[in-house]
Amino acid sequence: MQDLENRLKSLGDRVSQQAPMELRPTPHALRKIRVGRIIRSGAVLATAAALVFGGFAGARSLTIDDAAPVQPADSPSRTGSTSIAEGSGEVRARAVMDACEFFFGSGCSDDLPSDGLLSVQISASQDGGEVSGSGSIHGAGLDESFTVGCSRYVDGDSIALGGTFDEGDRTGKDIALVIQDLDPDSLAIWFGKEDGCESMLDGIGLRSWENLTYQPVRSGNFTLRHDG
Amino acid sequence: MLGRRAGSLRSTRFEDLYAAHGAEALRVAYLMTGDKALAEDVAQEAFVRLLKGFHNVRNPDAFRAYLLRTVTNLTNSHFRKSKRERDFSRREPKLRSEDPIDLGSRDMLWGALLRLPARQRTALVLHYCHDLSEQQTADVMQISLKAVKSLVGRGLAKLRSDEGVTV
Repeated sequence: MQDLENRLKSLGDRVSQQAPMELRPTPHALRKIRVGRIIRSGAVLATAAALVFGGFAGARSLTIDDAAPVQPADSPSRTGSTSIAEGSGEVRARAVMDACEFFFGSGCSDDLPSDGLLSVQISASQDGGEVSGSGSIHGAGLDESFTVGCSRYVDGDSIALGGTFDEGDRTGKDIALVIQDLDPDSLAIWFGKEDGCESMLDGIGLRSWENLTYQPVRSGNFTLRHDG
Repeated sequence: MLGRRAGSLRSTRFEDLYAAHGAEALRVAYLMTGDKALAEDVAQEAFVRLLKGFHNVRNPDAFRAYLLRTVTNLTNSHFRKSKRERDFSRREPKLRSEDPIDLGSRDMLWGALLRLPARQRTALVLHYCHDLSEQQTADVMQISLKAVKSLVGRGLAKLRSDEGVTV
């Protein structure tokens, strides 16, 4: 039905002609932009401090998420017991990135999987503000399981689930599984240190979620809760 | 070539980008929400967020796609976060009395468009209402061309099944 497509185009045209459609910065927005500039400068200092003092936990007081008036990534709803995400699938091992590689570039870590397929499983829910769940990663030399302890929504269709390895060579260290709800879904796996769940997610957000290495999920499916 | 690009970006003032793309961001946000005040909030928030990563923008040509992606993500995130989407979808686009146009029968279409799942709505708004090509839509949504075709097809089918649209 070509008519429907034309009507959608016409809707766009009519909105375009509607005056005024000019974005005028409000004092509130201008203040946020000005503060944003200051925060951006602070973020550079925070990054440097974190690298010098060995981890983001020591520099958290200067991070964007703590200081900026800009909303941090949305946290899932805090009421009721609800599934946040669950599913399983296979993904290329290059979806794995660790803190060292993230901040210093490739080649600084030699214990990450270089290639092959990883089998990933996750199940997470929240109850009264408590995020819990479990997950596992197997394949490409990895045989790890972890406990989920925190989560946050990231840029619309993605969710980041943070946790701690409780079995395998990385026991006690942090892990984040970032799932993008796409066609097909994509995954990025972050191997952190021992900064704690929320601090790890703050650390990733400091450099932008988009800079993670996402890989499409093969032969699997991850279901995210979308109704916040 | 790369150096020249980086240089040209450094000379691009954020205020210039705001002036050049502000209206477009507002238009897309308005189409996505049907609410002008909310659209202004979303468009401005998108620029504020882009400012945080402005120093990381290496390709000025990609700024538009990045901006539109941020606008659509913020819109969808807003509805999801505040649970307003469910309430919102029960009513038609609410135009203010001072709006100078009467959308007439298109009110029904706009209402149906706003009731679509977020990604179908995003694909239809960008492709048809905002006149982006399918590839440009894919770039903005960061999905494959095939996924865009699928979302557009499913969105159109859902609109056709909406009683109000077929009137």
